[in-house]
Amino acid sequence: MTKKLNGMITTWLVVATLLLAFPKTVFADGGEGGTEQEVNGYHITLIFPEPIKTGENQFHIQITDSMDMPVTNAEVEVSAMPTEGMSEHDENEEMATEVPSTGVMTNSDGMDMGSEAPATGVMKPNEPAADEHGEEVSKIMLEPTMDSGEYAGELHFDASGEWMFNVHFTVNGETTEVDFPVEIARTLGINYAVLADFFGINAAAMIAAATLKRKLVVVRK
Amino acid sequence: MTTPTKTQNISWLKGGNLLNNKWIDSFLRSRWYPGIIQWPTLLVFMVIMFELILGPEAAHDNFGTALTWVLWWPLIPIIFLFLGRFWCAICPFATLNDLVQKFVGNNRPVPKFLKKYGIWIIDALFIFITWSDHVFGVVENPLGSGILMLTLTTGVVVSGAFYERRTFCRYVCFLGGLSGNYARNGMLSLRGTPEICATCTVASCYKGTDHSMPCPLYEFPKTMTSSANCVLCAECIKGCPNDSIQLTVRPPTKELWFIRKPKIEEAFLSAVIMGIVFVQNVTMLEVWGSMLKWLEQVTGTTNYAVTFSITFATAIIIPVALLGLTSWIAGKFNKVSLVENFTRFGYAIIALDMAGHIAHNLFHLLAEGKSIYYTALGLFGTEVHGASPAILDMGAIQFLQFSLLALGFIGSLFVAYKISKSNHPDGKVWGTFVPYAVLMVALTIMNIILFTLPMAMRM
Repeated sequence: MTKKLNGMITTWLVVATLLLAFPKTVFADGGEGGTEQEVNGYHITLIFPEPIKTGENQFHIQITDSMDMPVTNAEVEVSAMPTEGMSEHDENEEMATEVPSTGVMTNSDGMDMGSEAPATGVMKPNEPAADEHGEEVSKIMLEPTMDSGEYAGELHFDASGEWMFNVHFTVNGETTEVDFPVEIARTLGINYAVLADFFGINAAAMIAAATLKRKLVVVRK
Repeated sequence: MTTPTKTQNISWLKGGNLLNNKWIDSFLRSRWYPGIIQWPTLLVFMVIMFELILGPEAAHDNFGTALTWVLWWPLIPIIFLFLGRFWCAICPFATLNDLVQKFVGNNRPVPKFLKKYGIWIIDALFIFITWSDHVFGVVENPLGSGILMLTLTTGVVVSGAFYERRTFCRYVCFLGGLSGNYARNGMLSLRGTPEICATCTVASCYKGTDHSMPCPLYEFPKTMTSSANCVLCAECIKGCPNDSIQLTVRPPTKELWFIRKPKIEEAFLSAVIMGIVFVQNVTMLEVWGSMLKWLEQVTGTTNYAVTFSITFATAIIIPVALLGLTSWIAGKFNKVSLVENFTRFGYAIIALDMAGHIAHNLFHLLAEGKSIYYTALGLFGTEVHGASPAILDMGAIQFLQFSLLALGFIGSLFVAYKISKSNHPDGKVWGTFVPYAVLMVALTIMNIILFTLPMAMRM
């Protein structure tokens, strides 16, 4: 009976180890050298120097005109919205009320809508605007960098998946808008760190108990 | 409450011993019970943990979130109603506790402070975990749920490693406290047969034998008068040499009619649970956004932890204060102190607690139930977009919710009456009962108002 139980336990532990050792990874594409688009005679290049991930991401935008000259006097604003799960969300809304916009709640994409807005920037954020779904999107105003026609900023992505990165710029009173679909990779570092921490604490507790148990047995003998 | 006498040849519907049924008896005595349910539950738990920590980060895509908060959490109070604390016998945390104990357990006695303040610790943990859920978004965040589970795992590992039996389950587990209260309301009762136990000197139900474990929750069926700490693990059934143990079906709330040793911390917990049901409902209502904005203006801060804490404290204080006020008014009639009335009649709220709790979670189970299937499909790479997660429409769900509240109200009212009757046979029954009846009406109306308003989903 004991042998059987031990065998069963060993099997469970092996299964558990395998499950934890070979998790499915959810990394997506990200960190391309740059994505380009042509709109209204402008050539806009969005560059993320590092692979795009959840959390803070630095980026810069290069704008050149039809003569391939850098546009230096643009007022550039950016915003980002997740594009996944919209249809499910709409379906859910038929059954229930919308989750209040304040407070630590998650939207349909599991995005933390708590103490900070969906997008934060190193630059001054403008007043939130509403997107077509009525959800508030914070826009970040960018300022030019040392390089001519280049504008930089930092954006916070709360969840992985497909996002729409919107660039909105005004040159001489003329406004141009362009969307860049971006894929946010998932970083599991924090998850593994959490697992490792708990594993460490539990292992320490069990080692301590095993050591003490041996001592107790010796004393009793 | 009287302990049952031997009930051979009496129908189980009339309180007869379920162990007279040879199938039930042999199943519970089998060496496969409860392992045959316990081990698969542990396997499912491991899948849940894997999904919560390393699976999809969006709650509505996460199978672990769906299984935990859309299936398990709504089902658990229903299990308590029908089977008492049976869940605790197959709980994966208990299995882990036993496993760790088997290999490295020091089997030290329960620390005295846990014995003395255990239920207060459970009360505090229950309040803290519910507060954390709202402030840190535990339910809506799979990793947050995973951290909660890992924290509980650490608790049971430490407990199993150093202390004997299931110390964690008895004295620390927040769900254990809740289930203890609900199990009193439950329909299954395990007790020793008084005339047989009276002559017993071995107490193998408590101490265990070569082929059975000692009671994991330190209960002694010979003197046990409550189901609050009986997990139906059947170790006492296996170990009793005199075949004394009886398993009977009883009407819901029956145990609450007379509590021999009522405890203020348990009465307090029952009022707290009502407050938590309120806060769970309030934060899912449309009006919640306006309430928060008003609170932000009053407090001058937009910090959600502050504004929610004020709401949370208010929601918990309301039923506790109402119970206190009612106990003070009842004291004018029955000449009993506020604390004594509070302690005795706090148990009467449990039926309404349970009804409110089940009704709240019924929404999640029935309006989001299909998300379990959809997220399970996600494990195999099939994504479902745009499909409704609802099993029943809102009209049907609300009908069930109000029906449950009606049953809970009747149950609480009846318990209050029975407590009045058993404690005041001197003609003060109605003077004692009426203030509590008014309290139950007030609490029920509050619940009805909250359930009339539409709620948001978890997934």
